[in-house]
Amino acid sequence: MAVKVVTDSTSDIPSELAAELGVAVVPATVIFGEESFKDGVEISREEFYRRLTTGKTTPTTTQPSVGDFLEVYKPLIEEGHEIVSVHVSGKLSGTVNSARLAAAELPGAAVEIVDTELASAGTTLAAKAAAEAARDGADAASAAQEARAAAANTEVKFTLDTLEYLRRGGRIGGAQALVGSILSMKPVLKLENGEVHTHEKVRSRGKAVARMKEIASEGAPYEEIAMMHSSSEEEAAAMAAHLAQLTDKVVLTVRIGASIGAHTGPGALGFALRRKGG
Amino acid sequence: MSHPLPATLDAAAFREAVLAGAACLEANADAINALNVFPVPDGDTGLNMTLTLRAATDATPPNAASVGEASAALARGALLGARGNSGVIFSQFLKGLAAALAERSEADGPALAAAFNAAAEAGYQAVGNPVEGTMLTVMRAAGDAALAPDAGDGAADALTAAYAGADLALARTPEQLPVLKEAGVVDAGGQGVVAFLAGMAARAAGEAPDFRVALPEGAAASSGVNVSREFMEHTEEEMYGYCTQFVVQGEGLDPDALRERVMAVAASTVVIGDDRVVRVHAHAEDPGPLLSLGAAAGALSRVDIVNMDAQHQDFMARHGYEGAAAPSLRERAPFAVVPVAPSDGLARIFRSLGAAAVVSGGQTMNPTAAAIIAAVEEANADRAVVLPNNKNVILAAEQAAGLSDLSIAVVPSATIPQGVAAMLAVNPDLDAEGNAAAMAAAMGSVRSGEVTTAVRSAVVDGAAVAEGQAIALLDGALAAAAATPNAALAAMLEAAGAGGGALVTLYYGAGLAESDARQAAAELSAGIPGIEVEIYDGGQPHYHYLVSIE
Repeated sequence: MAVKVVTDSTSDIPSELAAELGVAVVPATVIFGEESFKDGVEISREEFYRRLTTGKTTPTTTQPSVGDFLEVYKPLIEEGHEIVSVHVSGKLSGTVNSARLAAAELPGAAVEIVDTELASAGTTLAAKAAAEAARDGADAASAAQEARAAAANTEVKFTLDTLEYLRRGGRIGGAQALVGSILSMKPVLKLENGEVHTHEKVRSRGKAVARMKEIASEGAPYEEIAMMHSSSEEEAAAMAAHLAQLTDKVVLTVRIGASIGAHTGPGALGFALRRKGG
Repeated sequence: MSHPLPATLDAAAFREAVLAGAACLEANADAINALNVFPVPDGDTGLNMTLTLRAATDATPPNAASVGEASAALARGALLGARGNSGVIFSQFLKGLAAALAERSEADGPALAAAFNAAAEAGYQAVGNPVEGTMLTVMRAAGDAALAPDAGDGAADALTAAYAGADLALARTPEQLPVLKEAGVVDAGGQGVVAFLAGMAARAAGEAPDFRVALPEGAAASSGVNVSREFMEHTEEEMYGYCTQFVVQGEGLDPDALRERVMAVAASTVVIGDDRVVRVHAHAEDPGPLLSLGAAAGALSRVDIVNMDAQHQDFMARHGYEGAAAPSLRERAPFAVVPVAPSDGLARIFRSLGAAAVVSGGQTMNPTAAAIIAAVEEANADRAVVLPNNKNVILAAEQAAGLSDLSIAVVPSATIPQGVAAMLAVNPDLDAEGNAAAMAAAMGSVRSGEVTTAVRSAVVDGAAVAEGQAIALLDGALAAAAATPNAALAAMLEAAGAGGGALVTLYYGAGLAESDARQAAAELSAGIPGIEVEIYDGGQPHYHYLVSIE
């Protein structure tokens, strides 16, 4: 018997890392008009962004169903495992509800559900903390506690090329006020209490990226950092090189997949900074 | 022209002297406007002082019981109606004057002399960093001269001495302020004080008001006539009937006589000019008689009639009000920002950034403290930050903060780009003090440029500028002069050292087409690698471009 960590595709956890730590990923579904795809399974990142930028239809996303979770949970329980299920903020997605309902279908099974109040690279850091605790012999409750502590100590900041996708998808939260601006905005955004908020209003991409680097440097050194992006390799590499100076651990680079990308659009760049002592 | 005033002034005689001072100032308003250091179209010192004094005299009842009562009403009217820095300082003079006369039923020469000294003192105190060679110096000289032992005891003696002392001090202002010397002018605000005192002294002595401001070389009074339509639209609080403006040209015109006739049939009148050109602005239920008066005096031109009722309704509709009670529909907020903007385009931009209310005004139409207070009331917030967005509006905003019972902080933005930068720093998580501090800090993150047309030939900062040339100012100093606005803009950005990574935001003015601005943006992008250029329709008068460089 062991503890297994489950997450969903909005964590954008790299497949190599998931394989290495034995993390199972439940995919969300991305829908382009009449066509639907399981994120990361039935549609690649490259294909998704190609359709996003050139297609006529705006994609929507749906959380994994209770059935999708049961398909992953059941075999693990039957093999005698305990489960720590680590997910995207319940205020951005109903995923964590599906997970809870699925757990309720399995009476007696040890399933710990963690709402990280984060997304993408932030959720990845929490899932990684749980998986590393489990690997070191923690039970489900302690591994879940590790994930919660990591999530509570992690701040996610990001910038977007356009707020349009966030607005269309209804995830714009506290950054709503920026949408009415006549002046173009490249704000630095943050996740706070599980929702998107404006951290700073910035007028250009170059300044937003420069400001993000400053913000990251302000709280250094960090326990761990994960960077997320759907931007150019050049911009991402420069940010990764900057972040590498701010932590002893290797900086994780997370490519934003379809279920997050549908809400951020191309050109997203951000990071999850896990403070020391958490 | 009329009998001399008594040696000791009662309330009615005091008011008469002030009215004569105001009329003399008004008659010289154009010439004072022309005494502008920079050859940019913001030379409204004469108008600002005239309108401030107009608000003051309108508030002074003809039947005041004492000089104290009359001067208190005069000062209160000036405080609320003050426009521009010169007007605000002038209103502070009147405040000091009123404080000194408060207990007096009548005023003789020594009382007036003491009051002029108190007025100067109040002016110095009102200005954070008093500079000599300005209207402050002139006012103090007036007070000193009136107090001199040989000045005499009568009111006319004190006023005549004050005028003479002020005139001497005015002539020395170019020695005290190098910018004046370079521009070949005396201080405009000081000149306004002299004109006012000249009018008062002449009336007290029973002489004709023959005072005329000497114009600087190369400056025609007409080049200083900047009574733009936009300015006048915002000049008065009254918003009914027809705002009627026209210019009368001819030989031997009498602006004073025309003013009398216009005032008989219209409200909110401003009549300024000389014997060849007179400009008329007035509000009337029927514009017809006004035009007839003008046509009887000379040839009419530049006739502009605006239906203010329609304008008022437009305003209400644009701001989403359906009835008079509508302003209360805005929910009370803990914090609001109220910027000053000179055009609808810039007002829209500020509103889109979250401004709760916008004060109309700016460079050539400085809003009054009363207008600023009204906008803060419209914003309906517990605490408000006012962004003046013009160096000549900062004092009026501070005056509004001091006069109002509302909690108003002024973040002293001197330009539109500074105001936008401050606006972007607003953080809903911070309280009013925290926001004011963050906004003030953010102003420093931008450099501000302006491209306009030189209204006269001049030497500025050592460089010769020809009338009609496009000139560019960077952070208030001349940076370039060129044949076209776009060329001046490009030269200014080069002077600013704007390079790769810089964001340049161009707010193009009412006089340019979007295609002009697009072309400028394309040329700049091609000329400076890595620069980002954005263009927005600012619609501001007089300025081809307002430029933010960050």
